[in-house]
Amino acid sequence: MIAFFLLLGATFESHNVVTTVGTGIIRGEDMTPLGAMVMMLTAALVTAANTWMKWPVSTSQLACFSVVGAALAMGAPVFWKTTIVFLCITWVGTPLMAAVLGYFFTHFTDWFRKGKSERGDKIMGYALLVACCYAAYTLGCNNTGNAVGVFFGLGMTTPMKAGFIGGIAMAIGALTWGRPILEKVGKGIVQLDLSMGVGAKAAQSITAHTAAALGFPTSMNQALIGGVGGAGGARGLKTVDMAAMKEIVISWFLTPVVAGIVSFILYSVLAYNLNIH
Amino acid sequence: MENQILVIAMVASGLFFGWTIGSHYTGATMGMAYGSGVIKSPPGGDDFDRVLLAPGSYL
Repeated sequence: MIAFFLLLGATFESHNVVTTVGTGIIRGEDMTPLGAMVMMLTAALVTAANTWMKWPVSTSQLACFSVVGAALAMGAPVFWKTTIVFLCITWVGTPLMAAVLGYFFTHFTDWFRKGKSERGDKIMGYALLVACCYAAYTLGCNNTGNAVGVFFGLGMTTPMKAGFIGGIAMAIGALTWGRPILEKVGKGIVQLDLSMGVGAKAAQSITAHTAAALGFPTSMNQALIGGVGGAGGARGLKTVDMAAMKEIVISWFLTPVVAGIVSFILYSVLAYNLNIH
Repeated sequence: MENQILVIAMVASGLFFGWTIGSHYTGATMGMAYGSGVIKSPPGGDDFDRVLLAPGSYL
């Protein structure tokens, strides 16, 4: 299911984010094959390390700061005032918007379920699955650009073709190594009933989808945590395991910085050895 | 020649990053259905197989 909906989103609605990552952080003409290789290799290694540690982080932040690290090593100008500042606002805004939506959606699902105990549960179960499929579609829209945006930046392909290729790679990733984070998020961070789950999931997907439609890569994980917090707020409950959250929030701040530094060092070492200036 | 190798390495790195993104966000997309027990185990399989591979056979 993840693979199917993810590929749909990647192919048909990822072009805005592909364009942002490809040409919005540094100029397209400043992008070199070595720089692009270093950016993506760094982001991939840091993401793999987080998956191995079971820390759900933002691959969008990793990708953007990998681009920044390599760009600094290349001596290429970075669009600080426009892109990076706006991306940071988006990343702060994502959990906030998801929290507000999660709060209202949970009230709505509670109202809908009133007086429909067994039938209501069944409907909510299906609604949660639909919301999860929508989240997979949104993942395709939102995160494909991080992996293949630079292909477009280098003029190698069109945004739609880049999205399709990236979508296939992501689908294979979900099918082959998705279990560690699935276990952590599904059973280790939050405890929700069906109404809250539907509210949080809808809030996450709508928030991330809106950001993708506007061309800004954002974090599905940060949107999810915001949505869960909002759903819990609607009930006056603490829904998030604070011990798990603490390590996740630390990793949110740490991993983009690590990605930027690794990207900078890796580019400098390779450029020196390959005599590329 | 060197440039061709770098382009191939770049494409491979992008696909590798795509693969890691796909695996990393499995929890953010399907984790809630998995954790809440909406998805039940099929005979001979487990919840994980069903989350990923069996559309239309839930609940």
